[in-house]
Amino acid sequence: MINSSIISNISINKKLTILFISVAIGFAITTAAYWFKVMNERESIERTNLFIEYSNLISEAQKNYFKVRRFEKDFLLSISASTGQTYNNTPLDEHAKHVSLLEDNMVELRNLGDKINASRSEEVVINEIEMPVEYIPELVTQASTVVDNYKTSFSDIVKFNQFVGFTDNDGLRLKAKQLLNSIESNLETANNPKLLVSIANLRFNEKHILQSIDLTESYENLKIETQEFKNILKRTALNLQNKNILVNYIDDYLNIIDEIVTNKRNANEYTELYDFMLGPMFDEMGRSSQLSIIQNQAALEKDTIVATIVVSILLIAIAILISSLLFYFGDSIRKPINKLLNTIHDVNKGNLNARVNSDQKDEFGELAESFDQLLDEKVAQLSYSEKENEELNESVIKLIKAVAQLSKKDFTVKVPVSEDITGAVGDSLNLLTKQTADALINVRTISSQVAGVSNIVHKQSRLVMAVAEQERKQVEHTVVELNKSSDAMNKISEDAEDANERADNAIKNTQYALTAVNRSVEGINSIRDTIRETEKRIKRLGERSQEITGIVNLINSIAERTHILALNASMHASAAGEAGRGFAVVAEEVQRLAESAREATTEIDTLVNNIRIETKDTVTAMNKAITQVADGTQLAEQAGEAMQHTEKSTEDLVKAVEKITISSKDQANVSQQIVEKSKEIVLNTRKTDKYLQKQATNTNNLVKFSKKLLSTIRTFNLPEKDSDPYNINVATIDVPEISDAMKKQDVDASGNDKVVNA
Amino acid sequence: MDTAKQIHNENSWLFDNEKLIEKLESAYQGTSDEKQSGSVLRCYGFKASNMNFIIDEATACEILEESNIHFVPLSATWLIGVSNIRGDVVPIIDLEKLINGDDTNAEYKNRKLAIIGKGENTIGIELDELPVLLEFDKRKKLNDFSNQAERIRPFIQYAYTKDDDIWFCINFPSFIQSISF
Repeated sequence: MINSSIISNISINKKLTILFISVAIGFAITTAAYWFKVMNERESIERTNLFIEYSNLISEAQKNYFKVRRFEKDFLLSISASTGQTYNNTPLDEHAKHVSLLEDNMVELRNLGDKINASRSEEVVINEIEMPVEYIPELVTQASTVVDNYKTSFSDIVKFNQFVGFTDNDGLRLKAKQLLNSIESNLETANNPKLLVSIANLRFNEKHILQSIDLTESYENLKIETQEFKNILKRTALNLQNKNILVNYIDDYLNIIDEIVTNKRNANEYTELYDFMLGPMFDEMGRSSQLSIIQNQAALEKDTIVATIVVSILLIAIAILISSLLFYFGDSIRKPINKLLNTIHDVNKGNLNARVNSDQKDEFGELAESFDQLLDEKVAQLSYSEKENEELNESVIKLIKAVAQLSKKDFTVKVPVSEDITGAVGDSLNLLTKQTADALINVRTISSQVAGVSNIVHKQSRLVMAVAEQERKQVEHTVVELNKSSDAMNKISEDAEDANERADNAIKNTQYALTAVNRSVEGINSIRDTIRETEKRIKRLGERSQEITGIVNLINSIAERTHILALNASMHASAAGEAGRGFAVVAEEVQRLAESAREATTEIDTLVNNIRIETKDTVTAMNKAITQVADGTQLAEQAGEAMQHTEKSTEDLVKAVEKITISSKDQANVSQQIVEKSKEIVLNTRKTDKYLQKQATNTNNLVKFSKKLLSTIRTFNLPEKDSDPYNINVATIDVPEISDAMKKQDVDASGNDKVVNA
Repeated sequence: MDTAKQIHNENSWLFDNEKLIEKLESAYQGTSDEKQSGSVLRCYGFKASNMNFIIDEATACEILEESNIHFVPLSATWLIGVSNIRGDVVPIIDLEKLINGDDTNAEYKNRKLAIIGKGENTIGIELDELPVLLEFDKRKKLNDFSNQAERIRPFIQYAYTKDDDIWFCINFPSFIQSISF
């Protein structure tokens, strides 16, 4: 049982640290146990996989072993039944191939057996007998040794059978066959069927020896038959020499059969040996692998259950430990808190003597001790405060009584001064009473002065009102004059605008004239260009005329040649005599045509020459026209420049008029603004008059109030004062009479504005 | 009507040459009254070397212009040169120098040539004017040639006067043969 006082003396920080360490250790142990369980399962699964692989390999080796044995039987059957000239090697090749596969399987099994041995395998239980872990590798090693021995033995079997002969044409079988054939050939002369039957029986037994596994009976029958053969031979009518030869043959045959039987027995002995060795060994290996898998799985289940139980126990133990710690730690916290709360409730109910009185050494113990100290201090302070309150009440009552006397406007009363806090209040009240009395005395003095000054102000306000009335009239007259001035300025502005419009029109007209002049200049330039173009074309016409002259010359030349040709033709025709008369006519006509053409060309030439002369004259005239046009252009350009100057001057004039217009508008606006301002001044003057009347009223009221103030202050019973610092002689203030002021105003107004006479 | 006008327009060339056809017909069918009378001689005449020559029907004559004339060195002064006229080498002579015996070398003035004669007896004469068809009054035939140049006198066949000019008909083949180059 844990002692609660020990737990109470542990601090809360230490309790929390212990709790945290306990939880961490518990979870670490649980995690380690779970990790061990997982790793164990993993190893077990890996072992199971190894056993499964081992089992598969054993099955593969068994399959190859069965194939090896099958091809072994095929080989033996083929050699025993073969009577042909050659032997088929297929069974031997297949046997060798599968022996090689079996050897590979055994090598793999040995490697796997080493792996299984290296793993932490449990003991193997076979037929309820526990065997060591090394049993499986040893079994594999033994099987491998047996396989190697079998390979060697099979080679011996093959050698024995090869010595006997794979077929009838080799080995001992050939010799036996030859001997029987020789015996048969020697028996032809004997003509004894019993001997031939005996030979057939010998062959039957020989074949049986070769094909059967149990040789003994056939061999004994064969030996009896050889004896029978000898007996029959004795009774035959053959000569002795032949009989001896046949006996020798049959003895040799029996010897060969002896050797065959010996070799066959050796071979069969090896075969039977392995029939009872390898097969059970493979069976044992397969069974051991299956048992190992089952055993491994059982071990895995066992480990899993154990690990689960261990982890569960650990978790329960950790839960109990943490719950116990939490209970005791919570109890050590809950109890002092409850005690503290109870103490607070008692204090609230008025039990100022209630205390926690904790004997714990932890933070709650310190808290209870501090709380008890705090309660002690607060109780002491409370009793002291009550005593002070009683004293204060008495002083306050005294103060109230003194204030009641002051409320009766008797400022001669003195408030009693005590030693407590009200003493300062009494001093303050006395000081306040004294200051108030002084202030009231001053107010009384000032009120009398205000009354006097108010009378003066009243008179002055009346004077100001009269002056303001005069100003108002003058301002109204000024407004009338300003209106006239503004109308005049507006008229000037309108005239300026009209002048501006006229100047704009003048500019437009000038621009129109300038445009017309520019167009004239452009037209003249266009005419000049046209004349130049015409001149060029006329020159081209002259050039064309020259070309025509060339063509005319060509035509003339052609006509001349035609003429010559026609002349030749005519002369030839004349030379031809009567036969050329018709041709002469044609030639003459051609000649005439040529002559006409030449005349025409001459006329054309004349015309062309005339054209050229006319063209030349035209060109000359054109040049003159161009010169005149150039002069006209120059004049027009000068006119354009003059118009531009005029336009510029007009623009300057327009700008000046615009400036005048703007200035007159500005002036008119200013006049208008002055009129508006004057109207505002009139309005303000009226307002001023109105306010002055109000001021006069207020001044009257002020006089009344000052009198009333004096009468009010005289109700106070004030102490006597020797001197009056604010005493002012009102009679010394100079206030002009209204009539004098009005006269002075008239004099000032007559100097500036004679309209006003009022 | 339109068809007839179209046919007329198509054969207008025929109507334009009606005069020519009439002349042809008259040339083949008969002669004029004057010719029939034999008082008028129609023949071509040309001027060369300030002399007037008549080309009769027996004389072959051809007019050429702008012929290439090649100067022959160390030849007679009246020989202007030779020209290739359709494969025949034709001597071009200055008839005036030949007749008058002028020793100055003749110069070709690029005038028109009258190729007179046939075959080897062909010469070229520089013309002053082209030949024209002339009609001579046979009654104005001259028979006295004593005033003419000795060089040409034996070869004058006949001569006619026309407009105060004397036109000679020269036996050019004989004249050509008489010339020794």
